[in-house]
Amino acid sequence: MVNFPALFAYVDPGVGSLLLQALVGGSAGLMVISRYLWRTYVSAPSVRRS
Amino acid sequence: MTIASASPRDAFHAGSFRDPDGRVFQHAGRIYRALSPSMRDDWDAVSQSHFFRRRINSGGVVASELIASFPTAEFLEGNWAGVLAHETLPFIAYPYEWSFGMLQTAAILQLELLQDALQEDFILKDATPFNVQFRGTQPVFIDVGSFTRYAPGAPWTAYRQFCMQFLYPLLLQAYRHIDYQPWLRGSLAGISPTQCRQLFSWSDLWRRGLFTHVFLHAAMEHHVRVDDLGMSTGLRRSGFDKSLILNNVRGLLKLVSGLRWRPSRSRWSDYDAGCDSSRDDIREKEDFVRSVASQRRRRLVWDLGCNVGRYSRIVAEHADFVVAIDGDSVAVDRLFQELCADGSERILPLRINLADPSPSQGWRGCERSDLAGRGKPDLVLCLAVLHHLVLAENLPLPDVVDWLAELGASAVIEFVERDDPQVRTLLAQRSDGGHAYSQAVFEEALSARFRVCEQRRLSCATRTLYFVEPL
Repeated sequence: MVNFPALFAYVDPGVGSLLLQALVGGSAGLMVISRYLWRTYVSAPSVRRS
Repeated sequence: MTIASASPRDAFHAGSFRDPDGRVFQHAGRIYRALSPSMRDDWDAVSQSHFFRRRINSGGVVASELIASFPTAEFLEGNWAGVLAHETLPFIAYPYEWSFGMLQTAAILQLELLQDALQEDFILKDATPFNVQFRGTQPVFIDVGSFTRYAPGAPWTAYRQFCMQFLYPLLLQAYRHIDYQPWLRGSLAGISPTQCRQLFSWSDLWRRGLFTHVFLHAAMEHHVRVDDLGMSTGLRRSGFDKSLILNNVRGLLKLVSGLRWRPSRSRWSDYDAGCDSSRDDIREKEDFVRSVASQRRRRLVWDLGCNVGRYSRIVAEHADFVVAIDGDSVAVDRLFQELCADGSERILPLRINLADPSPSQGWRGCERSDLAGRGKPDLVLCLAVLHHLVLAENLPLPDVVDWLAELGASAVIEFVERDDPQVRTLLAQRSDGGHAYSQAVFEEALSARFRVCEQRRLSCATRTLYFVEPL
């Protein structure tokens, strides 16, 4: 469920820009990206396959 | 635009449509903002926060107060839960009229406000320099409706906008010496990551901030193919939190604060220093301007072709506010830095080419106003600028006088004759072009639109000053 009031309709956040924010956030950001990529490309597809 | 308009929708300022939760309007000379129920809720919270009150007190955020009894239903269409009254700033200026130092100062304020807000669980919805104005040299954040509560795990959606409208223009000026003003004027949305990437080469990769905020940004924008909501939700579930935004903001603050634009000296930035031979003229001009300025206090003065602001400073002693205009980026930035050092709050330097001034533009041509549409002056200084407009920019002399007259203000105008060394230098670089440029033509045009109150020939014998009142 998405409920971010911060996704304001009149500002284009840009998906690449959203991901980049995690990347420039330091080592904690790298962990977030790793988890995001794992969930998106490894964990979720395997759940769907099973 | 006032609330006495025929249609209630027309009551709102033409440039305040982007955020429907807060619409700006003008009434009886004051600026107001109508708040939707959700923005009223945000206002109630943010106005109680420590950082907000601190910034209001220091002048970094525009002074605002809730008007409990404003009759919104009578004047405004829509469901409004409150109205804020804002402090009225002396003159509205746009980022494409600012110098490098002004955009840098505004960017630092934007980032500091975001940093402060996040620490108290608020965030700024957007990141555009149009939300910042200048009280002289002090930047003032004017869009209090941008503050909203931070939703845990949400990314900073305005990061891309900050890059496009603040960071990339500054990087281009600092690293490439590209004046960003024409670009921002041509595209109110700013410079996209892909466009900015195209303007730098691989050899620039070592420069601070370019790898992540430009090269990587452009690459990710090009290659990442997920929808915004999916990405935001995915990041939140993966542990994204505000500490990552704060890390990014701290890095951006360091990057922006460290940027320096070191231009080679321009022809005009050295103009004042090159006038040693005419010191007597300068003193006579100073006396003339001081004499006119001290006759009565003026609300707003424009100094056209201000260069390094010698006469702006004199007239500021007798006026509420001076807009100092010059087309040379170096001269305007130098004036801004000097005024910052002086702590001046009464002179606003702007980089505007008078032969191609800022137009009314944006949505329906009225989102951003032209120069005169933002407040006409009481007095105009037009010293040593007329011959440039006529001889260098090919503007007809009577047209220039007509334009000055349309401002409806008193004026101090300097006419420089053809025998003057500056005019001879100007004409040596180009053909005369058959310009009807003579004192007789000038005085004929002047007498058709103005009454000459005072006239003084300078001791160099090639320049004459006129103090005129509109007919």
